[in-house]
Amino acid sequence: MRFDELRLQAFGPFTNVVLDLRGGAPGGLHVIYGPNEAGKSTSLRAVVNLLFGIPQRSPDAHLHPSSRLAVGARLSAQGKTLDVTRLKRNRDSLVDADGVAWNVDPIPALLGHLDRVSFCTRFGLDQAELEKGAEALLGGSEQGLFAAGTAGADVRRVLSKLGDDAAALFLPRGKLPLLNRYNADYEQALGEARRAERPVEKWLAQARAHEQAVQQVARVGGRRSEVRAELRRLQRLKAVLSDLVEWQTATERLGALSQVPDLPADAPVLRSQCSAQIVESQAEIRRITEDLAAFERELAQLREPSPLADVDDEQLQLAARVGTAIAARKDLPKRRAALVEQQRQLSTLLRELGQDPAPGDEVAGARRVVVGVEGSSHITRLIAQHSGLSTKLKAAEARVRKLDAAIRDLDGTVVAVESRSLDLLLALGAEGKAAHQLWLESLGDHKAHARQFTDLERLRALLHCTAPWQHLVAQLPAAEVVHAWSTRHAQARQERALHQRAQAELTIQLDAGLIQQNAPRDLPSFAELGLLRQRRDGAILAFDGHDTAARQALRQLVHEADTVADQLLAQADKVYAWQALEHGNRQLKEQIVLHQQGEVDAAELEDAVWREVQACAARLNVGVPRSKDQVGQWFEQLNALVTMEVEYQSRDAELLRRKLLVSGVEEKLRGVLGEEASGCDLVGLLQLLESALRSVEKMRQRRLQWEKDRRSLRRDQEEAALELDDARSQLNAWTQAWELSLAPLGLGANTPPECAQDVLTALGRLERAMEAAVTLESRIAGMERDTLALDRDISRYVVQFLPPPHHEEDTVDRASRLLEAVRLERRNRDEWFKARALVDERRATLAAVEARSWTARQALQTLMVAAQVDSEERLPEVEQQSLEKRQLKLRTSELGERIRISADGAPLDELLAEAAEWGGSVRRLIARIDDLEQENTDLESAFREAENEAESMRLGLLTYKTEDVALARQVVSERAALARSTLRKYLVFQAAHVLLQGQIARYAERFSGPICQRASEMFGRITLGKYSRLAVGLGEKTLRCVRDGHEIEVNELSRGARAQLYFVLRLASLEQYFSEHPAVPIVLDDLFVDFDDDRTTVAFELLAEMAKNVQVLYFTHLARDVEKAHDAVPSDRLFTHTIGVN
Amino acid sequence: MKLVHAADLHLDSPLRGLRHYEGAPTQEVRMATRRAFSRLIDFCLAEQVGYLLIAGDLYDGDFKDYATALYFVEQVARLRESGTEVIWLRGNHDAANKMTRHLQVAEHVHELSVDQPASLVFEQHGLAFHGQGYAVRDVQEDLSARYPAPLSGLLNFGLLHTALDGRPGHASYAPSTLNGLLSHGYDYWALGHVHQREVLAERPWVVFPGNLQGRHVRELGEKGCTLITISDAQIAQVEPMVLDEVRWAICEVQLDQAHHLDEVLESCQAGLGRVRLSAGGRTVATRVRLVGASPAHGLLNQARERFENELRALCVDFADVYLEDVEFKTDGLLAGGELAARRDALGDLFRAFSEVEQDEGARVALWEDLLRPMTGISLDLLRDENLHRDDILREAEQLLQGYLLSPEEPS
Repeated sequence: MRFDELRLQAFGPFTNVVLDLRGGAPGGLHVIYGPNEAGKSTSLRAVVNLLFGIPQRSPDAHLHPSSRLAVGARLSAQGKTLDVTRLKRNRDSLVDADGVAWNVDPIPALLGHLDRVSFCTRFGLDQAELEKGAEALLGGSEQGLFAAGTAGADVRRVLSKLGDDAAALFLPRGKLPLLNRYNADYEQALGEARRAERPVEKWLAQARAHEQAVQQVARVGGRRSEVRAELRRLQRLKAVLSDLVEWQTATERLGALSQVPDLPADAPVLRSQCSAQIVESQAEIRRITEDLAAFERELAQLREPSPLADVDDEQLQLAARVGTAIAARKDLPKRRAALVEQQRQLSTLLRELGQDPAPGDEVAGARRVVVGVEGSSHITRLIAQHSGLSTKLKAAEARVRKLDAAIRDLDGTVVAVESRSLDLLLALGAEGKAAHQLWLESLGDHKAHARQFTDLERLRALLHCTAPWQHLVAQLPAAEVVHAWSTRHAQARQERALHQRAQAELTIQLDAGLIQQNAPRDLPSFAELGLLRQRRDGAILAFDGHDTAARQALRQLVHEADTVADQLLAQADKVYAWQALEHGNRQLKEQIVLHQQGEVDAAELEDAVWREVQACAARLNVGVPRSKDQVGQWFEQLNALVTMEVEYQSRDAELLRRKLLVSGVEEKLRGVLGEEASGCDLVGLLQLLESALRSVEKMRQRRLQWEKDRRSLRRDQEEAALELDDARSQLNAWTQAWELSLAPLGLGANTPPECAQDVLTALGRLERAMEAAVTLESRIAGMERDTLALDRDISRYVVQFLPPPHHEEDTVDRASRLLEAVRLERRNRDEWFKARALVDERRATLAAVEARSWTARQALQTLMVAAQVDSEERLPEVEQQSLEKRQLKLRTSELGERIRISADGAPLDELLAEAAEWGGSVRRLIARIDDLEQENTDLESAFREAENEAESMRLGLLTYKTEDVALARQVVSERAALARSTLRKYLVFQAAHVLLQGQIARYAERFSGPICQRASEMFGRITLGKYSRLAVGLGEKTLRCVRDGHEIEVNELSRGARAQLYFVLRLASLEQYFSEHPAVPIVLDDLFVDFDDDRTTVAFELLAEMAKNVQVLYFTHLARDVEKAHDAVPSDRLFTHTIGVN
Repeated sequence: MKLVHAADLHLDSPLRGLRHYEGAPTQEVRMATRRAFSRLIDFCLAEQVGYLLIAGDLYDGDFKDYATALYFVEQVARLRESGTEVIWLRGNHDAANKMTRHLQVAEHVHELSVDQPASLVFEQHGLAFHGQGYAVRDVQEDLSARYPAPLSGLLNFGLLHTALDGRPGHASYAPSTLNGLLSHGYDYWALGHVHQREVLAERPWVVFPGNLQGRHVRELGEKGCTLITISDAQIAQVEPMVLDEVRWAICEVQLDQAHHLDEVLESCQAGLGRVRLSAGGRTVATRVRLVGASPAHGLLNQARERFENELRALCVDFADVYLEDVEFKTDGLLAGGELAARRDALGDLFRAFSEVEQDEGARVALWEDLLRPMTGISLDLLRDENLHRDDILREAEQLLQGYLLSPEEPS
């Protein structure tokens, strides 16, 4: 297949550009030159898009809309010509010259069913692929040939990845790869599950053992009960034995005392108390009789008391009254002088008030003038009232004046404000309001925006991010990368934990193993024993036929030797067990080392991820996560930051749009706001507008407030007027009252309150003087009255009780005499009563003592009757017997109770009978008890052991109720599943690896000869003879280049030489391919940029050779390449085209 | 009168193929066979079932832990109070297991003999049960051939553990034929051994109830027992009863329209949601099978591990879904045939896969190459019956497609 024509009908910058590619058929080297920006790359894409369709998102839909893109071509293949046009469609995108879709797309068959990628990589080559292919050569000759032959992929990388992936899962003698570990885990779990199994034989044995243990418990328990019962009975007997004996003795003695009367327990005491009482009473009666006679004599010598002693003190009260009379006698002249002085003062005061009283008539005169307390208080009240009323009136007048002024001010202000607000509102109009509204909304947005900005800043601060948002958006790693990091990080942590746990477990196992180690002595091996036995059997065979007895003896010896050998074998088993333990311990140690290494590996992996994250943070200009644990959260925050940044920026755009809307009314606003707005930008203007509108609103609010205040002031004004009227009417009423009050004082109504106050003060003083004079008069009269009454009372007592005086006595002397007589009479009366009381007291005491003596005699008599004796002397004997009887009763009762308690309520008769059995031999009883106790102790111990055994067996049986083993098997199954899954993955990787490697080898085997030969020749030419040829290393399968007779490895070549080597290998592969398959065009894109002129010339020569049968389309932007192509290729085989935008 | 027919309890048999992973409902799946059996007993008590028939395989043959047998004894003991008679016989697993010989059960539990066909007659209910258990694991004769003739005037039940004509996936023990059973004259054949429920005939009834609890991904769907209702001395109704604890499912997800992994995950989420719905609130152990010619084929094959992890995370979110495995069975948009038709080294490579698949010798050689170094790996793992060579080859081919055919658009 080849292109005869390529039509860039509507593609990229091209419109109906046609490239005529017919030259050089069936091949032809077409160099398509287009300087930079001329559309060379577009043309190249056009070729590919024509063949495989225009992609969904095409970069070439800028001049022409995506739906109109079209590339056409005339293709020729196998003598036929096809005219095809590729349109941008999902279906039927390839149409013929008439615009009719092809039923079956003919192109895939022409291209050998290659897909887009394969075509591009196989028949297309550009600078980047050249370099990539050159790198692929490093893998070896086979891989290089395969890579060059397919140009499909970097097989070296694929092989390496497959190998690495497989090795990460399994290594033949590895410990760390997953499958090795999972296999070990599985085998371990399997072993544990098997070891934990409890087969039926074990259960049966356990059940039997349990049954036997239970029977043993019952048996021992039964015997123990019998022994305990007997022991209890004997111990009971032993405990009560002494009490029983004592009880019996006491009961017998009690029988002997049965006839003795029962006297009270206190009879001896009562008896002795009565006797003592009788003796003591008789002595006391004698003493009291003597005292009584003496006291009676004393009483007879005293005088009986007179009635004067009985006059009580209240009636008398003479002493105080005599004192008062003496004081009055001294005080009376002073009082009378004071009265005269008071009368003189009254006279003076009256004269001051304009009165002139007669001497001795001062008090009466004063009484006439004084207005009294009530009148004075009334005037005082009026004076005070006058002051309050005056103040109130003045305040009311002032408030009325103030309110008038306030209302006037308020009215003026409201008018001014209304005028200004209306002016501003009219000037702004509807547009201004709308603009203002928009502005307000944008302010709202702005606030939200500001909040978001705050959040953003917070997040930025949290992340220590200083990078611009575009940088963040561009540099944030892809989600897959983040996920991969997180996964690796988590995996590493998990593995570390796993290793640490495993290591710990292994250490425990190792410790357990080391404890068990106790090396037995060395013994011969089983092999040696086997040999010995073979020799023994041989000897027996050889001995066969000899004497029977000897043979028997030999057999006996052999038997003995076998027995010894068996014992040796048993010992050898122990040795091997010990060796196995040793081996196990060694393995454990190795595993521990491996796990330690695994832990280190995991830590390294974790560190590696951490380093990647740190590198990422550095790239992003953000702070690193605080710890390794924070990696996931850190990325979430980072993503959140980027999302918020993008939102924030988009909101900025919205704000700008609103501003632009507002700017339409800018001029109008400037006009309205006048000079104030000059020099402001749009935002300033809007702020001014905002401020103006706000002040209008404020004014409106203030006006409403003021109107409210004005109404309130008016109400206050009305109230103040009412208060003023009220004050005035109250003052009028006061004036009338004032006039009436001053009239008695002779003052006019117009008298000021201050003058009236002075008159009132003078009247007060007069009144007080008058009252003092009256008091003095009253006291003098009282004193005279008292003196007369005293005299009367004293005279009455003296006449009644005292002899008349021998001479004229004054009242005070008589009173003194009377008082002395009373005192003497009272002392006599007290002495007489005292003597009389003593006599009475002794008489009463005597009667009481006589009564006690009689009572004691009666009690003694009662006691004798009770004791059935007729004399007091016999009482002690009976008392003693009665006491003994009582004590015996108490004792037998106590003993009975004690025995009952000690013997657990056993009947006394039964106990007595048991005691009788032992015939009083306590020693024998104790010996029997000791025997039983010993037996009981033994049985107790045996019973406990049996019980423990039974319980142990029961617990053992209970373990069969658990699900442990079933769970362990489930764990085995889970581990097997994990291992199998990993095994499957490993096999897939490995199969892919094996098959790919095999195919590479087969491919190389098929083509290495011809391709290498041709490439060797071309390589010599393109390197201008620097390298003579190529060689393939035997066995090693490496590609080498021969220079000056020396073989050089590919990795020793310069990058340029490697690129040239890959180029010739590709050409050789393509030649080989086209030798077996129909030709398709080769599309090359600026391959020789890094080639020098000479090598470029040779490269074009090589291409020209290829172009004999295969169409070669070489796109370049270098004029040099066109020139070198002309130098290298004859003009009949070279066709140059220049493309450029019309 | 009601009877319950169950078989293949396989008590304490582990659920296979479930890899433990963080957040997996591990506790829910463990001891599932025990819980299912306990449910069976609960069901018998609730329905006042007169007879519980167990047609063999109480537990796995290789199971030695006597706790399993004790659990069986403990559970059937619960039926004594309700008067439910338990009739059972040994299957191939029981025959091989020593525990069976030492079962200590109460008098309401009757085992049918292993030496010869035996009959149990319950005249008070007009029922007769015939059957013979396995004396050895590998019974190759048709035991049913020697079963006694039906007893007249009674409803006759035959209990038999059999592969019946050889059911796929089951060892061919005690092979019998459907015609043989049908012609025997019994009213109901209570069969065991085949784990999938199947009603082979209705006059008379020939029924495999399936096992009580699915144990791996090949035992899909509802599991339980069969409830038989007898009315007027006739079998009036036979109905399945679902008793399983954990449901096994395969969630097949079509990815024809999926371009990216997110879309694949969304499709899986929808599919898993359907699976959960069908499980009626049980824990579902499911295998996700990705199928279809998908644009995301390359991406999936390049990121299998990551995708599996994300799918597991999805299942963890569901809480009651246990992801058993993921099968990557998608195709690229370029069909395998087209790849093989290419006339280049890649075409040779993919043709080589087909050649190995078709060439038994090459396949064996490849398998030996792969397994030879794996000397340290347990044979149990290597002998896994799920390790199909063709699947491994197919997956390897898909993997190479993913690696070698880049999905990127050329510029």
